[in-house]
Amino acid sequence: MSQIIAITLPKWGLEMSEGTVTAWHLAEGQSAEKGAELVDIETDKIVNSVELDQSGTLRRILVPEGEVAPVGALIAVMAEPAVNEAAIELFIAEYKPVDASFEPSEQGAEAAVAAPEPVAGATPPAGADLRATPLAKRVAEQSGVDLATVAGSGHRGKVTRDDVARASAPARSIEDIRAENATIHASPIARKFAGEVGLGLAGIAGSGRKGRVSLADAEAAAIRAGLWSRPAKPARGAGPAAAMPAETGSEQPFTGMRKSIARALAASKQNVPHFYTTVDLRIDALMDLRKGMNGSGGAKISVNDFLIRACGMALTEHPGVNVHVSENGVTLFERADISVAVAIDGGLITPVLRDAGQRGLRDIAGAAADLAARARARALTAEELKGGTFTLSNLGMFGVREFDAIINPPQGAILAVGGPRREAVEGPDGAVLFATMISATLSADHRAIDGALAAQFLATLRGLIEDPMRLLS
Amino acid sequence: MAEMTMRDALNQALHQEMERDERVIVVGEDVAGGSGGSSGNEEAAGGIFGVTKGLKTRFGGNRVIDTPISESAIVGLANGAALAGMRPVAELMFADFVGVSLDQIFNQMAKFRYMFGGKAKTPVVLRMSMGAGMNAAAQHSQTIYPMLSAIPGLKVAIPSTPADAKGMLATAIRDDDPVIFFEHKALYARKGEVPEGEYLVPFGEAALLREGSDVTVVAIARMVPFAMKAVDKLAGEGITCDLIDMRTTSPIDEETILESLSQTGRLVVVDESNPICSIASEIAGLAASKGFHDLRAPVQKITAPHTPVPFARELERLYVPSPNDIEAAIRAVLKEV
Amino acid sequence: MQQSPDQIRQAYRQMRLIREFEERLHVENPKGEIAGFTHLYSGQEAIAVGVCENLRESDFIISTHRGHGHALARGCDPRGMMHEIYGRADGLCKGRGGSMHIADLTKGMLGANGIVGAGQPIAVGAALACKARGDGSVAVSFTGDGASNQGTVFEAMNMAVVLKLPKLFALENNGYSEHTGASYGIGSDLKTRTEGFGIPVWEADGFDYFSVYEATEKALDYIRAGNGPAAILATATRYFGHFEGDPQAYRAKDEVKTFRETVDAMKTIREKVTGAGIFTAEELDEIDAEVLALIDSSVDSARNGPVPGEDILMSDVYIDY
Repeated sequence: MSQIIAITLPKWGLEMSEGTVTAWHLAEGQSAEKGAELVDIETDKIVNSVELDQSGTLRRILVPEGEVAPVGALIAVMAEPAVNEAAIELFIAEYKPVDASFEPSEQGAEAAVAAPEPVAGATPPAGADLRATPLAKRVAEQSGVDLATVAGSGHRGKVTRDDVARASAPARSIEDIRAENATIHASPIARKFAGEVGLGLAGIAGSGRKGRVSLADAEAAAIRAGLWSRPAKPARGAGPAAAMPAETGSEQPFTGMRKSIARALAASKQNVPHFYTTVDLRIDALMDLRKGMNGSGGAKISVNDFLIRACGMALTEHPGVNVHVSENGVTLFERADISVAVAIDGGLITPVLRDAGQRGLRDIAGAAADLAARARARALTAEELKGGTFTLSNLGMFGVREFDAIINPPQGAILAVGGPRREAVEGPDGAVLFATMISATLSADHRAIDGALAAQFLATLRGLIEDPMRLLS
Repeated sequence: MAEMTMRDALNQALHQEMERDERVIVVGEDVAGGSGGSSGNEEAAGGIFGVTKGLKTRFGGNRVIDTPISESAIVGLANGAALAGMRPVAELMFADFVGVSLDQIFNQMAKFRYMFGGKAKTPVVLRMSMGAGMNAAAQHSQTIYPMLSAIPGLKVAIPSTPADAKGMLATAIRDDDPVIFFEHKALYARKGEVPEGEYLVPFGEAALLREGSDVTVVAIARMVPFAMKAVDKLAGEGITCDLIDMRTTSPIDEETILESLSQTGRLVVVDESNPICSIASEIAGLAASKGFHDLRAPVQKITAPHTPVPFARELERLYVPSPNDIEAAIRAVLKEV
Repeated sequence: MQQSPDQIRQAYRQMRLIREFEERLHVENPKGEIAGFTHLYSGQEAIAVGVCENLRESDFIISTHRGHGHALARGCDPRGMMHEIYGRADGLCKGRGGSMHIADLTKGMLGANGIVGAGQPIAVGAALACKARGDGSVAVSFTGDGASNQGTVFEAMNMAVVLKLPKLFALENNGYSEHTGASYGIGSDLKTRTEGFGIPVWEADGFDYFSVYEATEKALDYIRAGNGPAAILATATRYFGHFEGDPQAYRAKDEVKTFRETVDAMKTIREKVTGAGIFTAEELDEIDAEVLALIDSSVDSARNGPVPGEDILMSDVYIDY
């Protein structure tokens, strides 16, 4: 025996992936003949011995008695006494064990949920019947695409709906589509929508009077053509149940917190003359900035943190919105102390983030996260709940598009923010672009705040959100 | 409570039930093993996965019966013995061998009670190992519970922990309906706390193994520990999930799944089966028909691909859904607003 | 019929190839590189080779879970098989099947099979095709004592008789049906049972190549004459467990040792061939050395063979993909 022999943990049968070394029959330095028992290995099913398949000297035991090792692991090394220690060390260091584990692949986490890749290199044979899915044929007909010009990505080069959509999109300019749509019998709103998403209305069977194409028809066609998807709607309750008897239900008495919410908000809604102004904010730049900042370490910054910071700055610029209102008059504040609404089990709590106009984003993010966590743990002090000058309420994470909030007296205004949505917008050269938008609605107390002031405040807010580098200053 | 493997937990349930009720018998290939062998050891195997070890020594050859390799006759024998008043626990070494004995399962045991005007009782438990992960290739690795769960008249139990294995096998043996009892072969060595003495886990009650608010994750068999790994990892990031182990796929505990979905609005179903007509499809369908208004994102089905189970390690590792796949699916449902 | 020295040399080489292929796998298996189930054929070489040496190119065989011997005897490429057993992309079945599903349709080898008793009805179908072709081809199914208790085997036997098909039932009794003795599992005996279906049975010594060859020759003469199915029944033993890792508690400690030292198939053929002066021991040793080198190189290349990936996982589910 001139070379070094690896003794590995054996695989005995289908189920075995590891074993416990229960007894070594040789000590390091001892020799034995072929067929001698070297080591006992135990699994939860069996105990068995490894026999030497050639004579030799045991030089190194790597897994002591009582320890578990996976199948294929190096558990000992045999070599002639002439082989020096350094060679054995090197052998051990360089030994690559077999991976006999039963664990599935750790790769492909993303691929697993992605759509299957088109079969590569599959193109339809020339001159053969055009292979296209029935859906693709219909969409091609509707969008005026010649199937013969479309490369198929389906099985054996079959043309799919997506292939047709791709083929139809860049073929004609948006102006061409709009010009053609102008000649189609369609409702104005349907035509406007079609122009926005780049949908040709020709060939769509209209469901309206005299075959007029309605918005619903156009939306359905745009979905089929892969040009548009319906924005997520806020969750709804179950639909009306026809002819079912009324349910009795069971009354849950108000908790203390719900009682105080009920009292304060009922008073506000009854006594405070609310008015509402809504603005759409494009947040693509903000999202990019946030991604960059969150990628660089430090406390994670949420969209809401950006909003807190922007409100703080806008309030500093428009102190007329940063007010408390009473029956007798208005109190203006220099500092923007923003109440941030946090939903918790059984209600709502609004801890105050002080001086939001002057604090940096990471500072705000840390403070907001701390307040929210302690709000959920009900560990806030009374001091932290008092003295807000303005409230920010964000239901975006629940899929809400926009909503009107009730002012939290004695504050003069509250901003209600919905969730992001993708919207088709017209780009600088007339092309259709997709933008990420959120809507923000300011509820203001008309006794102290006029419409123009509300609008100016929102314009400032919009400027900050859409040019988010300004939030870093 | 004692810590033991799922193999030993099943073995304990068989011992206890055979002790309790002498009508309980165990039949199958090599459930004892060694008959006719040259060593004279008449309990040389105890089942190829060791689940029936010691039963023949304890209860004798009249109650622990080695059979020839005749799957159709094994199931038929169990059916007849059950109709005649015994409570057989029959074993098919591998679930794939249902292919050999399917008539006795789906035309016979499943239908006796209904066809015979409610007069028949067929208290058969048909145990079988299943699942990929050990490179046993296309004919020894399948998870065919969707197929059998679709057959009216059969109950289908699929434990994922040693405790459930014990409690559900005892319940199966005491059930007067035929029960298909799947044991994932990669879980036999899984250890866990198991209650001592009599322990029963009712059918049709899913287990809620983790509680959270962001996503509902439903899993079966070996996918349960995989899902738990993903869920626990995400909990570290503040993403919390309800993790539901279905435990039985017939009956299905719809209430637990729908209730959780109403809390989270997001659903990931993990199923080692092939995707078409899978349990994942069934649960996605349940969400679409009875939980539609709660859904805030498309349901994610995590299943094996639509291929037979491959042999090579690298291929099988790609085939079996992994904790990473589950984590990605949870993240994907959270991306939808 | 007298066999030529070339035929005998070929038969000896095939048997040696099977023996060394399996003995080597028994050594390699515990190392953990080979995944899944491996069922070895060592001890039964004379049966696979004794049957297959009688076959023509146009004939079919179908095998069992213990299929390496049948595949090699039928001429499947040992290197391709070794790569398959190691789960390589360039294995005979692209690493999808492994030891238990080795097949090569180009060699008329309809596959090893993981389902006990599944092959016999399939071979009945192949025999139907042979009959339709009218070229005198036959289909052979190998059936162990364990599989002989499956209903599928009874159905296949009866149907082959009813349809008078050119089908050879090669019955191999190796003494054990998995972990249970054949004497326990088989109610009467395989010869009487098979004859009960109207199928004539030629018995053979499963350790003796010449005995199996002659029994098969007679059975095939009967079949190719258009009489319908026939059977051979050869008795031997397997040297290793039901699968690799089987502790074989059902076997007496010295049982295998006794077989190896007394009636071993390789020992038997060597003694007969050298005793009759057809080849010298040295000439046979040369064949042995060539076979060992082939197996060494097959194992080396299989250990370093290409790993299959997603493309292999996701293709050949259907003709289309």
